[in-house]
Amino acid sequence: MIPKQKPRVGIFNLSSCEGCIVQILNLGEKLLDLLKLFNIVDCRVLGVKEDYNKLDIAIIEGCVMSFEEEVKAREIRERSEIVIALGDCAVSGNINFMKDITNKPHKSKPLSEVIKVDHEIPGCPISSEEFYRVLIDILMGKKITKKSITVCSECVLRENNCLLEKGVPCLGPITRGDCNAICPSNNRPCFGCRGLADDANIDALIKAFRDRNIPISQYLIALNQMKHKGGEER
Amino acid sequence: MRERNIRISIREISRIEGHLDIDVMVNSDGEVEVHAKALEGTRIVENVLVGKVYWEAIEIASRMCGVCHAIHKLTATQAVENAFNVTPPSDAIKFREIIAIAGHIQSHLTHLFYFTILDYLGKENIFQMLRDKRDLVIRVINLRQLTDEVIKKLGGSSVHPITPIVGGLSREIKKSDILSAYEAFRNMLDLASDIVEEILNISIPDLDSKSLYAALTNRNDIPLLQGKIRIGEEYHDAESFIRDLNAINEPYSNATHFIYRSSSYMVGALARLNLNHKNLVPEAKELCKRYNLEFPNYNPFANNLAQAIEIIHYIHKGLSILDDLKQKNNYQNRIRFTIRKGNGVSVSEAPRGLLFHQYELNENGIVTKANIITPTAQNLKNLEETIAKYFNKIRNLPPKDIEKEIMKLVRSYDPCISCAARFRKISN
Repeated sequence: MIPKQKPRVGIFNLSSCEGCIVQILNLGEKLLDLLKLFNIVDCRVLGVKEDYNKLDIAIIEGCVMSFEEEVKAREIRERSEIVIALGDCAVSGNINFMKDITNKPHKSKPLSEVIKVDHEIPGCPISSEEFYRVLIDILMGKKITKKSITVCSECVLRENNCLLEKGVPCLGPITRGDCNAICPSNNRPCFGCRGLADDANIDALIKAFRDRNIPISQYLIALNQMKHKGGEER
Repeated sequence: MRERNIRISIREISRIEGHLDIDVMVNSDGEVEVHAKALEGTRIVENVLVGKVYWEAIEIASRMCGVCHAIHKLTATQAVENAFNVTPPSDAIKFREIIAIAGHIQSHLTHLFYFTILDYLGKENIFQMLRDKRDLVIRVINLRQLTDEVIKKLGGSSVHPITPIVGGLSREIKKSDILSAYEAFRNMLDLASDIVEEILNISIPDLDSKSLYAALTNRNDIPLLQGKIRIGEEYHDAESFIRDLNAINEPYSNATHFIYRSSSYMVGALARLNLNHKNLVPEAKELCKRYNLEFPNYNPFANNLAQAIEIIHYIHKGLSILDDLKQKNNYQNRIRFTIRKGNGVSVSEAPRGLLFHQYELNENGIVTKANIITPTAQNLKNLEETIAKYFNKIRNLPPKDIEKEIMKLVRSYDPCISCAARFRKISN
C-alpha cells in the first residue's frame, strides 16, 4: 500500500568515496520517478536542506571513523524511522576495515556497530537497480530480503570460465551475489564486496586456494575477520 | 601571533564532494587569512595499500573517489606498469583513454549542473531547477547517462571500472564495444551543445587572480593520461615535479596542502586550457570565440567555463579515437609481464587537475610504499589565497552575501575533499 504522504528521505555520508551516492545519480531519469514518490529533505552533496524533525527513511553511506561521525550517526538514528546502510563502507567498513586487519583496536566501524540498521544495500559500489528496488519495496511495505545466491552460482549461470581453476584468487564461492557476477564476467576475480553469502564456507575456500597454490588474498583475510568480528549477522 | 577575528565561518559547504569548512579571519592590521579546513574523516588510503599485492592495491586505490574513480584506477595501473616497465598494447591504451574521457565529461557535468550552475540561477539544488528548467535537467541527465553507458560498457561497472589491469585490459576488446561507444559519443554530441551554452551564458563575477598554473601537455593534445607537466614556463616529468613539491600539514585541516617550491598553484580545467588552449579542437575554439572567452584567463570563476569548453573538446576527442579503433577488426587487449622490484610513478589529468600515484613494490609485487597526491590537495593553498583576495573585494557586502560569494568561489574550484583529506592531526 502506498502511503498518502510522500515519505521524507535524508541522504547522508560519513567516511566513504561517495561513489554509492554517484550510483544514485546514475539512475538517470529513474531518479525523477523516485522523486514523484519520495521527498528528499536532506542531502548535503546535492544541496538539499529543508526544515524537518523526523525522517521516514535515512540513507547513510560510509563507515564511522571518528567520534564526530559516531555522534552524527546516532543523531540521524534518533530522528529516523528506517535507517538504510548504503554500500559496503556502511555495511562492513570495506577498504577502511582492511587497514584495521593489522591495526587494533579497529578504527573504522560499520554502521551496525554504532546504531541499529534496518536494511543494508551491499556492494562497492551498490547497484543502482537494487537501490531503486529496495526503496520501492519499503514504500510498498514489502519485506526486504537479500538473495542467497552466490557470485559463483551467478557466474556459472553466465557460463564464464572459472577463474579459480586458472589459479586466480576469486572469492565468488563465498560472496553474496545478485550483482550479475560483473567482476568474473569481465575476467576479474570477485573480491567479496557484497559480503558473505548466508552459507559461506570460508574454510573450504581457503583449502581450495591452498590446493591450487593460490596465495590467500588480503580481501579473503578481511572477509574472514569480519565474519568472526560480527558473529552471525554479517 | 596577532589577534585574529573570525569574520566569516562557513560550515560543511554543500554541493561539493566531501566536507569542507572555510574560516576567513582578519587580524588587527586588517590582513586577511583564510583557512580551508578539510574535515572528512581521514581514510588514509595509502596506509591500506601498504602490504597489498599490486592488483589488490589498484582496486583499493580506485576507491579513493567515487566521482573520479576511473582516473584513479587508470593512474594507479599506469604507476605499477611503470614500476614493472611494461607498456600495454596501443589498442588497450586507446580503450582506456575512452574510459578516462567519459569519466571526465561525466564529472564535469555533475559538477556544473548538480553543483555550480545553481549559484548563478539562484537555486539551492537541482530539484528546484526541475520546476522551471525541466527540459534542460532531463537533457543533462540523458547526456550524463550516455557517459555512464560508455563507462559501464567498456569498464564493466559504472563506478570503479573493472577492465583496466596492469598490462592492458582484463578482457578482449570487441568490435561491438567500439561501435556502441562510438554511437554513444555521437549522441553526446547532439545533446551537448545546448547544454554547454547554458554554462557559457552565465555571467561570472569579475576577479583578476593570476596564479601559477600546472597541467599535463604534449605537442598536439590536451592529454589526460600521458604527457609532460608544464608549470609556468617549465616542463617536468612526474618525478622531478614531485621533488619540488612541499607538503604543508596545517593544524586545522585533515588534508595536506601542497605548494610548488614556495608558491601556491592551480590545477584543473582552467590550468589545462591556460596552458594548452592552442590544442583545443576547432569546434571548441569556435565556441570560445563566439562567447568571447580567451585563454589564458586569470579569473578562477572561469574554471567552470573551461570545464564547459572541455566537454565539447573531449567529446570530439573521444570520437576521433573511436574512429581510429573502428577501422580495425582485431584488437590486442593485453601483454604479459613479469613482476619485479621497482618504483613507479604516474601522473594524469583527473577532472579536477593533476593526479599522482607513486608505488614502491618489492620483488613479489607487494606495495612497500604508496603516495597519492590529489588535485584538490594541490589547489587548497591557492584556494585560500584566492578567497582572501575575493574577500577584500566584497568585504562591504552583508555577511550573508559574502558567505554566498565565497561558497560560489569554492565551488568554482570543484574541490573533492573525499580525495584530499588523508592526513590526520596527531592530536586525534
